[in-house]
Amino acid sequence: MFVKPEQSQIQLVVRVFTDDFTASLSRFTSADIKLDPDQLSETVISGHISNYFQQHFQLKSPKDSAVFSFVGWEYKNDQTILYASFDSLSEMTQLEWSNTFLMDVFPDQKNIVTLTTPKTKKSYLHTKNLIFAKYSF
Amino acid sequence: MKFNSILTSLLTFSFVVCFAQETTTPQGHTNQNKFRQLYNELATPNAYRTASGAPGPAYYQQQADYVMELTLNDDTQELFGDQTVTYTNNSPENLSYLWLQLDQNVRARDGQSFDRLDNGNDYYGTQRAVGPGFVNAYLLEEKFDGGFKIDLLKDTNGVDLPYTVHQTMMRIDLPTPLASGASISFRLKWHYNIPNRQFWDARSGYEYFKKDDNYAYFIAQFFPRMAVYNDVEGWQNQQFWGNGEFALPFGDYDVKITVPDDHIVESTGVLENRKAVYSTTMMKRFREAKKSYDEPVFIVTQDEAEANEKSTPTGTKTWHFTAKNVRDFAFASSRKFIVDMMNVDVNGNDVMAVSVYPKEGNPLWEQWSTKTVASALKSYSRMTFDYPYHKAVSVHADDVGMEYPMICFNFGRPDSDGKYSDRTKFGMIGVIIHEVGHNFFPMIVNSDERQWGWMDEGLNSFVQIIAEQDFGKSNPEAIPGMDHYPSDDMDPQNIVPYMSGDQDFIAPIMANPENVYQLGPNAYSKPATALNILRETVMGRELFDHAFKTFSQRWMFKHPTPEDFFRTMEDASAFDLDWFWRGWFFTTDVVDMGVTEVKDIKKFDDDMRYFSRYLGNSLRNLTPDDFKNRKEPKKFYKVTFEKPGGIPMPLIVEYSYADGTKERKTYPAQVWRKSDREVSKYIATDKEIVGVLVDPDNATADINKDNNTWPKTLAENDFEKFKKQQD
Repeated sequence: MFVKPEQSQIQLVVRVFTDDFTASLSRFTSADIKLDPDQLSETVISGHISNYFQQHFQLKSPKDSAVFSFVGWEYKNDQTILYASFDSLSEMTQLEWSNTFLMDVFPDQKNIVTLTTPKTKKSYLHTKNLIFAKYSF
Repeated sequence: MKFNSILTSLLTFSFVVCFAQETTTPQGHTNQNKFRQLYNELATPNAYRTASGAPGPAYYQQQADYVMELTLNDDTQELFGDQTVTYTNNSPENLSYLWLQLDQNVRARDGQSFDRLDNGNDYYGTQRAVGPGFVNAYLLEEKFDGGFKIDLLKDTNGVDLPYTVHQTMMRIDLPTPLASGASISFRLKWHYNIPNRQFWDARSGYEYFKKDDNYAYFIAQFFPRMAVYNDVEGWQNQQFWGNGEFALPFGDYDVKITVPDDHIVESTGVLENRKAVYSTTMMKRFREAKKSYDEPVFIVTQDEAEANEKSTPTGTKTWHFTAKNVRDFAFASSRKFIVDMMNVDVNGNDVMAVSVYPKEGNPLWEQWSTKTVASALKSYSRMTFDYPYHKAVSVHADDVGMEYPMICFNFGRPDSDGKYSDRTKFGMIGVIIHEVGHNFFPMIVNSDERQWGWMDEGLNSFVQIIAEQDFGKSNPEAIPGMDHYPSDDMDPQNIVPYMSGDQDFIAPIMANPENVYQLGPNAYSKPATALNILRETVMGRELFDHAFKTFSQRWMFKHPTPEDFFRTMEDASAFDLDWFWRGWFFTTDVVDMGVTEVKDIKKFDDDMRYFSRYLGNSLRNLTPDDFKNRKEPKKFYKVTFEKPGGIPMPLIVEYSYADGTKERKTYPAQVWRKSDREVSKYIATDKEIVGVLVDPDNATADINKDNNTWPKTLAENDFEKFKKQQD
């Protein structure tokens, strides 16, 4: 998670194991999803992932003016990498978010969020019992 | 007396200064130089293992020979074994007890593997290696009765031997100590319920195919196996918790496997009764395969396998295998198996590349498996030693990659409609190369996997990069539109997300595989990347390859330790690499080098004092006449580099000049030996420097690119790079 105060933007890069993400996305959409453009149009896949993203990574603060954009996805080895951003953020004095990626399928899932600001780098561990995290500037 | 007065005054002053200094007495320090030798970290060389990294004059290893009769019950999914073990004590000590490994006990009802998991903090991968997670394991516990049932343990006279089972380890107490140089034989009968491999995410077990109501068995770690006793660990009897793999002595095997008579079996070892278990047609095709070096020959076709699926056995058939000097034994059995084979010429020796797969693996498996095995054997043989066994078998099992001598189980399954993505194809080719590669590390270069996961996984993943590139070159049709095979660990940048991650979730490579957070990057990717960087950027291919081959050949059919590897790599290359091992293997330090300042300091004056000042004593005594015909550089720069990262690495710099030219300079890692944080270089040139770029080819796994350029330009992060591609 790259925080860009000067651009009023938070940039998100999510790395997930493709098999795990496919399973979670399939449950989310109640369909047997394959992340394969030959089998499902790129637009449809992106739509599913965008909806999944917004459901499983939510910005709680600043929230009012935040605009979510799903930028795209790509494969890298056995991982799928997702790119998204929150734009038009109001003044950032504090960031608060929730992260439930993959936890629907894997109850013991652990997610690490690494937050990079112009001045600092900090990591947060998310589990099913710890879905919220907060950073104050 | 004035003189005296002055002297007194000075002394007094001096005293005061000394007194003042006492309050800030300099404190000494031990040698913390990154380039100091690893004397404190490495075990002291001795007669067993020398300072050169070779086996010493007193080196020994134990021998464990097995004669086994196995029966597979396809109705109940049980395996029964009756084995006689002959154990030879080549150590200088007498042994009062023996330790055997009971790996199946990891799934015993009273097993503790799941109990060890911290559901709050165990990182991804830990649970994967042992099973389906605590909750499912709890639910399943009532249904599945896993683990060995020991039915009998007797000596050769039929007398019971006392034994104690401690989780996955079994101690046999000997009536009299086994003397140095002596052998002992004992008989063990056992059976166990074969686990559902997919449900348990197990390394071995069965897969059930509901559509045709058939089972495929991938059987390994299936018998009580002797633990290693050696000069390093004594008995290597660390429990099998799930992640740390195996430490096994070499031995000879004679194994008879009785299965339903419509099953096809492949295993470790030479098939001694091929004519008895193969049909006439299969024998004819086998002879054809022995002559085919380009294309695989089907021994069992898909049509025949599909017909077999519908058959019912009329009895049993016994397959007889023998194997010399192997450290383990595994086999696969099913009526669903398709088989193809192709001969491989490994430097004049014929090796049979074999693939065994159910139809669910096609069309991928019939196309690429055997060719991948063949290519891997050639590449690994080139990098190490000629493959010494007569065959290498690749068996298709869903969602697993696991290695045993001469045989391995590999994933890569197309969708049910036969379609598959590039990811599935390259995943399959990659895992086959990797698992076949494990024949070299650790099946032959037999390291202690239980203690050092990286020694086989890291070394193997490194050679895998080379083998994959070879495969891409010799099979261009497999990589259409690509200029090389997409190897995972080839690009140093791929390890950056791991190395730059939260230090709370990273362990040094030199750690036990049970105790690390992210086993994949820790034991596979990081050591593979480190060795690739060592080869490509630090040592160069010629010196590296010679040293790597020396290590492989020194420890072929022996038990090496990390020290033996580190020492051999230096001994055979004249490269002092202690700084490299320390940074990459013993710490979680990162690579971060950058450029901070480029200063034009040329203020030439005619008497060359400036030159003298900066260029040192060699010019200091020269007269102006000596410089009459000098070529005076138009520019004289002081370029300052920083190293916030803990790992010293070669400083690769690309200087850009105003005339559009560029120049590369590589300063050895030793540039950091006296100043670990900052160094400067003087550049005399006729051209104006307009840019400096550190690590221009991303060859060092530098985790921070923001400081790699002068003038400073913030590097794009992954998001910005992707966004730019999209735009």
